[in-house]
Amino acid sequence: MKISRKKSHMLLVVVVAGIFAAASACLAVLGVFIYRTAASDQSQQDLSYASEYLQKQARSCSDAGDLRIATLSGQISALVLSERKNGEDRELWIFVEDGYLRSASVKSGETVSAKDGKKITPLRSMDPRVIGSDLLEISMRSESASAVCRVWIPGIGGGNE
Amino acid sequence: MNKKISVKTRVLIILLAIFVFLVAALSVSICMFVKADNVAAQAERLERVVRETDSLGEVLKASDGDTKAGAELLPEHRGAEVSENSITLYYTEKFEPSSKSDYKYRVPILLTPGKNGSCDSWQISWFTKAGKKAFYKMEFKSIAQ
Repeated sequence: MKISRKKSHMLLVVVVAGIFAAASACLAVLGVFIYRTAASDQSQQDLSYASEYLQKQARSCSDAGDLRIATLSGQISALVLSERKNGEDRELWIFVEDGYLRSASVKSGETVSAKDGKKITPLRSMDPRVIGSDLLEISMRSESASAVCRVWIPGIGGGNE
Repeated sequence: MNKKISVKTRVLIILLAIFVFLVAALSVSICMFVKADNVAAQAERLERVVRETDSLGEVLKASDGDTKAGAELLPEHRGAEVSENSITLYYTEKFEPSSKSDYKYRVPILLTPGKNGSCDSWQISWFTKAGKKAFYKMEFKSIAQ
């Protein structure tokens, strides 16, 4: 069967368009994979940032007694750091609320509201606990990843005191 | 010699040139995308390794130069191998604790006890299952309490 010249030209155009469409689809699929990797990387970065922030805050305590674990509104786990600023005793509450790691600085003894918290980084949950006498362990979960951050603070559990 | 090129042939040549250009551009784009994806995956792995190593370092500091006490502070690592001066941890591809029979990353932790009151030295190295050379290593010293 002989194909006419016009038909052969049409066939060529269709083949070219088909290859182009297939390559575009391939590129789009690759883009989706790259987006997923980037999103996962962002989730890891959120964890790293939260981990660094918590370590820095925990280490800023001059005494292990200045750090304690408490609950906010009886439900939300929080890390509470006592500090003295401008001759005033204050407390820094660090907790997770509404998809963000937040911190709220209040006068000692004042009631803290979850709404007062300043956004630090996106985070889904944070669960601090003390292991042994010297180790603060904070389990964290971001959008698509989880991590455990540990900080060595001598005497935090009261063992060395 | 002075043969005229028909309009149809011209159109075909232009179409062919466009096609070649598009294929070349797509090939380069795909290669770049794949490379970017690999680099991003490597960066993510390194970030996790650094964070986990940092966390392990804190546990070792709390262990006060005792590898068994250090392993006890990592109860999730049931498959860890502990000796007097070393702990070997195993991780899955997703950095979950694993055992020697099924792991992706092997993490030997070596302790060199300090003599005459000097600091203990710790070395944490990360190996893949197939790799013989550590892809990440951290060394630090801790003061015996």
